[in-house]
Amino acid sequence: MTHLKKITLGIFFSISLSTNVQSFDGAAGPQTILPAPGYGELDFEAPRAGSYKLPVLGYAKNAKVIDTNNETVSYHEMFRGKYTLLNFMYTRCDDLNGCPLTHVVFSRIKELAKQDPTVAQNLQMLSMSFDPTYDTPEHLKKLESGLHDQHMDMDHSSGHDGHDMQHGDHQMHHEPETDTVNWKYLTTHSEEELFPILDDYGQSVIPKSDDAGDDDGNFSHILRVFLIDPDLKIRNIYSVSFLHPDIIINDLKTLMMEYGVDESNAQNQHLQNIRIGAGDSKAGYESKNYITNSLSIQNRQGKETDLLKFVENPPLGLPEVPVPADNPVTEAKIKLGKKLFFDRRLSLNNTISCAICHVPEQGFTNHEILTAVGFEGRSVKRNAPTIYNTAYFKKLFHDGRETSLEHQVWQPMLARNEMANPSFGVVIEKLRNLEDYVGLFEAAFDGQQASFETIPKAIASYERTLNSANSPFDRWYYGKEKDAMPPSAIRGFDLFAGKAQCIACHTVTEKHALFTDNSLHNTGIGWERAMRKDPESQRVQVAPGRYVNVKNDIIKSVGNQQEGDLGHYEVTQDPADRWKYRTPSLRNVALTAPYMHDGSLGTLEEVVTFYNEGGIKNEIQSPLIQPLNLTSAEMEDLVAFLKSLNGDNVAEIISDSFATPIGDHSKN
Amino acid sequence: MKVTQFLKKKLKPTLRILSPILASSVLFMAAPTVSADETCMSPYMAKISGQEDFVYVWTLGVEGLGDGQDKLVTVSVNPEADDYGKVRHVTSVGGRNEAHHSGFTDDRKYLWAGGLDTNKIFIFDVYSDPAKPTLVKTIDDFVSKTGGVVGPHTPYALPGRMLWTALSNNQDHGGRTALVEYTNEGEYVDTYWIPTDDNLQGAEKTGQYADGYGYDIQVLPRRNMMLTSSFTGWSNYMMDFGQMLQDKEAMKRFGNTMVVWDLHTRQPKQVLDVEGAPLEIRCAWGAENNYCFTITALTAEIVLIEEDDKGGWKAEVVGTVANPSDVPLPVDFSISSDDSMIWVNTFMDGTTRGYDITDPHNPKLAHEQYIGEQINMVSSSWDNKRLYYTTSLLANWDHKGEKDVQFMKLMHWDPETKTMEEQFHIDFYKEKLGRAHQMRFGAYSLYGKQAKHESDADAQLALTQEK
Repeated sequence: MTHLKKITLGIFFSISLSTNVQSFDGAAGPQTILPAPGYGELDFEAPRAGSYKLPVLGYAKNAKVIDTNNETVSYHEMFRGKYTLLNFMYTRCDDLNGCPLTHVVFSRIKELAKQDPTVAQNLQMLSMSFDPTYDTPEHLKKLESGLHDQHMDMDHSSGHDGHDMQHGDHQMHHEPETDTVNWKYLTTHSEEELFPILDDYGQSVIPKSDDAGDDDGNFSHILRVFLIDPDLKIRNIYSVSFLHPDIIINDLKTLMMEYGVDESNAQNQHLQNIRIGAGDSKAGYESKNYITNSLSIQNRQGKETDLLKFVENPPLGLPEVPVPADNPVTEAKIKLGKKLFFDRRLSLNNTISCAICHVPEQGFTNHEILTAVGFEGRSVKRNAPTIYNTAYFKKLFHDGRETSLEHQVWQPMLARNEMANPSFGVVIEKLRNLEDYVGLFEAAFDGQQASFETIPKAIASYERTLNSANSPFDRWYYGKEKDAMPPSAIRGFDLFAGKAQCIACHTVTEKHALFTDNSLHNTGIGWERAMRKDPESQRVQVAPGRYVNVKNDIIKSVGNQQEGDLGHYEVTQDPADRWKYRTPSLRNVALTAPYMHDGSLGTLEEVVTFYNEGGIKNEIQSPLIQPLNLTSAEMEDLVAFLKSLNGDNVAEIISDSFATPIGDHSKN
Repeated sequence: MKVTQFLKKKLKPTLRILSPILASSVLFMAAPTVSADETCMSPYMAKISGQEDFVYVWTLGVEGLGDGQDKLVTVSVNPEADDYGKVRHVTSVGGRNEAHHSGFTDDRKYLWAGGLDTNKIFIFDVYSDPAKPTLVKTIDDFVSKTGGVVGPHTPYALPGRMLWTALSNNQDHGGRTALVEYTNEGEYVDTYWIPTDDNLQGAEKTGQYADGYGYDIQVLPRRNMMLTSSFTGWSNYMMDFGQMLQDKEAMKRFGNTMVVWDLHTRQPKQVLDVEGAPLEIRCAWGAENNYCFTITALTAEIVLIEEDDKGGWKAEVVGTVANPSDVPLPVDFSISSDDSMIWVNTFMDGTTRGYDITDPHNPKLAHEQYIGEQINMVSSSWDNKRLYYTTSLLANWDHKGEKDVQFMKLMHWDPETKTMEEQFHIDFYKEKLGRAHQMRFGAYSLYGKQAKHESDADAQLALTQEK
């Protein structure tokens, strides 16, 4: 018998068989009901983690409750950022397939998680009593302490007496265990506090009566256990028949995959704490049910990493990194380039760095605005493109006007509507006079000062390291790992390369994939922006889930005329090149919203829908873009594939950028 | 001469520095005899006890207009002065910094003025010669000192200190931000980040939102309460307004919260849901009136913040301004010293509206008048009879073309006849000054001074004579 089975049986016996089924605190009562699946093995194999979706079933409402220290705590404070199992119970419960079942299943999960640090670090279990009269904080504290003892004892023995679980007079302080799931008991001061919570969670609880019609201390209730995600959404509700550790753990892992938690990085806690995406998340803002999920600025901290390795050994799926002969990548140049990239003093009035438009956690683009905003708020007509994998691009900028990173660097620094420096010389002299740059250029460039050549070479060296691949797709396609990519994404790739013909422009080769043909195409987005007639009014969002229609006259009265945008034509002056824009790589595409050269499509679903409809027809639209006739399911699969293109080093690169000081004017 | 007349004559031009307690009791009970000061400043502030002599207008430079720089424009506003209604003095500060709000230190000797773009804070000496403020110090390391706070917005006087709200940060130029404390001497003290979900700092998130955004600040010292509101980050407040209205991502980046703080410890206590960018905060002055108002810019709602029955505070929508579906964009508003009225400006239609707030739960529209295109700020005299108006909202949010007018106007309000009449107006474009933004009042009487200039010598004489 395996260790686990011993434990399972131990718990099972301690709670049920050994004492003819007893409540947590020992009140015995006869039962003849068959034990639920949660007590033993599943009759079927739990669906594989990541092979299915867990829809959002609702919003986990907030509540003020008390913990076993009699401290008031809020559900949301506890739920946020964690994966939570929440059950409602009472300790006098003697229903074999009620509260004791949950207790056993939670105990088994806790035990299983000891072998799975990803689960242990991310999951918490909360047992909420609906019997505040009996389940006081003091009473529950004994039980909670008993859990710890039980856990400790289970390491050594399968036998345990249920009474021992509440042998809690000892007030020993237990250090938090990092390798086990946190399991807490909660209660309320009164039924008045409790009932609204039960209503919010649809938890029906009816006191049972004895023959005399008095409450007998038992409750009739429906077993419901809630799985809640870090964004406070209910993702599953388990009843008796499905409350099983295998199912729950796979559900949990499915959710963690959705959130991008990489199990292989479980030991690397600082990367676990990196959120990929805006710290000021507005996911769900379209709805009145939006709830904030904001991160503090002061906790935006990271750890420097060796970026040179991404040049010397590019991640799986990427070819050798092209490096100009006159600018070999070195550690000193990378560090200097990174310092420059995050330095706001590189703009005329010390307010805008490269990283202000290319925000690391926002995919090195900016999720918060469709088109960029530059010096003194001046409008930039296009979306800030990501700089992931730009080392491989033969054409830079959306209109393809530049040919190398070294050339590209100066343009934003001198553009009147970006960083607005009036001349090369102003930037060069400024850097030569900044104390914190003393010696850095000389060290990186064999004694050369900051100059017309060395400044872009340094920044380009940093950008050339931001190579991101070894995505689930790469591991599946190039690494031949069968389970690296979920089935829906595999179906999506078949469409990508087949029916949808995305691959015609977003190239994939036998040995590597850049997902771009390094060419330019007219999809119709640019044409429409230039040629469309103004609507009479536009829908404007004014608060979560709240919109107003604003007359176009009003919008025009407070807006400057938008700058014209003719795409690649601005480079070649060839009318055939009007509204052609560069094919972006699709690597990390799930991280680089909003999409298209003008940021006009907010989600991958919108992008796929756009192409499914054949883009926007115009006389010189690329013939490669045609209606695709994809079904809804096919479009979902295509999106699933696009979401499988996130590189495995994204958190590491973000963490590295967080560790880089932001250059601001200082008197020191 | 009777004793009372003698005292009246002697006291009239004298500075009264009053504690918050005095300010909220003695001074206010004696309101009929106190004539002027704006009603929206810190209760810790020294008060003027006579006609204001000057209005300092923190003005945005406009590229290609005059010297193109931000400037402090000093307007002579004492009717007794020869240059009444004219610009007395201009101090340019260099560059366009997105000049926005300013505020005095508690002793009212210095006026601090912030730049939302460049993060510079300009400190003017306004007591050596109130007619000619001089720039004595520029804080230009605000961002690095504060740990990344961007967009110093509203300076608020505390005893011996200045507490700044801000709008943004140096990491994503979004709306998460902090409060920043300085000494009156301009030394950085501390940064207090607005609570976010991952770090509520002990505050209670009472609803759905904890966005970490900031904007205005007011305090109720008698309740040890400090209140902040929320707007938007650099990317939005610097963006072309028309562009932003069409940017569906940008429109998600507005504040939906107010934060109740422990004034003494600067610790956040509660995060309240107030949707639609709650901007200015105006707290009641009456000793028993423990409530404040805010008005939401995007949703045009009047919101009352008052104590609940659980020892905390709550926010409740008690009215709307104009037709919210027209996006009137209510911006600045002023509260009268007797807590009977608020004056609300709407940027889009250039209208000011007076609401009777005698019942704070039911504001009633009492007066409505068009003042001029794109009015933004309003400053009220203590007796609620003189209302000064200026225009600019933000450099890139102001109207373009014909509607982009920039002025300062003085209106007289007669509460008896409920009429409002213009006294003077200054065209800030015609004078090559720029965009007129926020106003603060100045007076010789604050410093026991006499007028130095011939131009208002007669005025000063008139002030010191018994009428």
